[in-house]
Amino acid sequence: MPLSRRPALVLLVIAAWLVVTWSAGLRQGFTFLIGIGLGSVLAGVSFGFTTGWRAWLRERDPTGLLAQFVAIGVAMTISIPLLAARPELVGAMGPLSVSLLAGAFVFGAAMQVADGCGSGTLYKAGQGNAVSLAALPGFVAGSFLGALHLNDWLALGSLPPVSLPERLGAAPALLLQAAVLALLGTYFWRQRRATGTRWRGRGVYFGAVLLALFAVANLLVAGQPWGIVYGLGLWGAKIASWAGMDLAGNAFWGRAAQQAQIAAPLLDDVTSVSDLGLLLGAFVTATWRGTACPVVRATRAQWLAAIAAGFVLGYSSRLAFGCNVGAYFSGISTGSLHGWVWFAAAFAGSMLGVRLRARLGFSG
Amino acid sequence: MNAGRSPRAAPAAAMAAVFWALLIAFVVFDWLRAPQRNRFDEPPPFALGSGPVSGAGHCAIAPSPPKR
Repeated sequence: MPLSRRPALVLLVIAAWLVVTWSAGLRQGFTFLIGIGLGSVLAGVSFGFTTGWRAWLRERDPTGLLAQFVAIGVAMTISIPLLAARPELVGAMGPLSVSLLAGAFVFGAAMQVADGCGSGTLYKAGQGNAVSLAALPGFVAGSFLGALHLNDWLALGSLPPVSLPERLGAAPALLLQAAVLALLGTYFWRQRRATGTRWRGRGVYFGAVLLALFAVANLLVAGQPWGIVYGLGLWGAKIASWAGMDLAGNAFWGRAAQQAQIAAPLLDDVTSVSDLGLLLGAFVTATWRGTACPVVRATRAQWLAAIAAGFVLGYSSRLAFGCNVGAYFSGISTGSLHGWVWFAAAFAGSMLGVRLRARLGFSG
Repeated sequence: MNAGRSPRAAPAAAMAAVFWALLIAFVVFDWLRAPQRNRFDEPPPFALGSGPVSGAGHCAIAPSPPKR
């Protein structure tokens, strides 16, 4: 891209930060900056949860999975002791439910079809990827409806959230999780048939460490771990309420806290603000590097599949108490058992999703 | 390709422009509709030491405490 555009991008970021800070306060301004950092890293190294799993399932290339484990490992090494020492901070504790199993499995399958998880769909939309742009409205609608129906899904059976640091103590929980990640990493490494099919060099690991540090910053500033889909669902709830839908009687959106969020400005919600920052960070990074709006060729059936998969991603991630970020990354890195269950169920779903993707004729 | 039609390139730049225009319009419309914020009632800049804002939402929250 012409160098003259780069100062304009810097000015755009500063102006957007000033608008958010002026409109919603310093905390939201800092959260927005963290979101920009997350989006820049995701777009900068093409950090992909979806692609990392697919590279393993198709080529037995463990690079992406190992980078994810590095990110989670760094984040949990800081977050778990922090959460134990500072009760004012909260982890991403989701219930253990039938909906978690079903939702994570379906999410794992759909993310392979849409070629994007929660963070992937968002940062690729920010980059101007047409498939992710097409999938995002469905993602918003699905997140809203998934939360709307969540109580009915929970009636199928659920157990309370399990915090491993609370059950075992912070240090034993940290050691246990580190051991499991190391064992999984060793297994994937030993079973490898290739490396470098998607990522070469150490950039993806550097990006993983940066992602972890931004996620910890999110915890320190917002008081809760990095999340994606709650914000998107809230956008859907706002649109539904503007359209005249009465959400006051709903088990989720009718809660006093949610009613207040729907009425309050969007910029008051930390998840929404970090989502907006992520979109902008990905846009700026892609435009800076001249990789924005990549050419995407797809058939009508493929477009429909991507749009439908976006809806399914949103719906299933609310049943599963988070996507790859809110449940897998933030759940595990703050010691929630539901993060591990999510990982197992979603990985199984991705095995199916990779086959569906091939059947629909999408490229690898 | 199984779909029976040849793949077409999407007008990605136009789609991105529409997306950003709609997103900005959504945020502005929401801000104009919402009650004005009390600037003297802002949460502290960092949750560390003060905690999350009341009612902060996260993907992991359930509708109500699950039954034991």
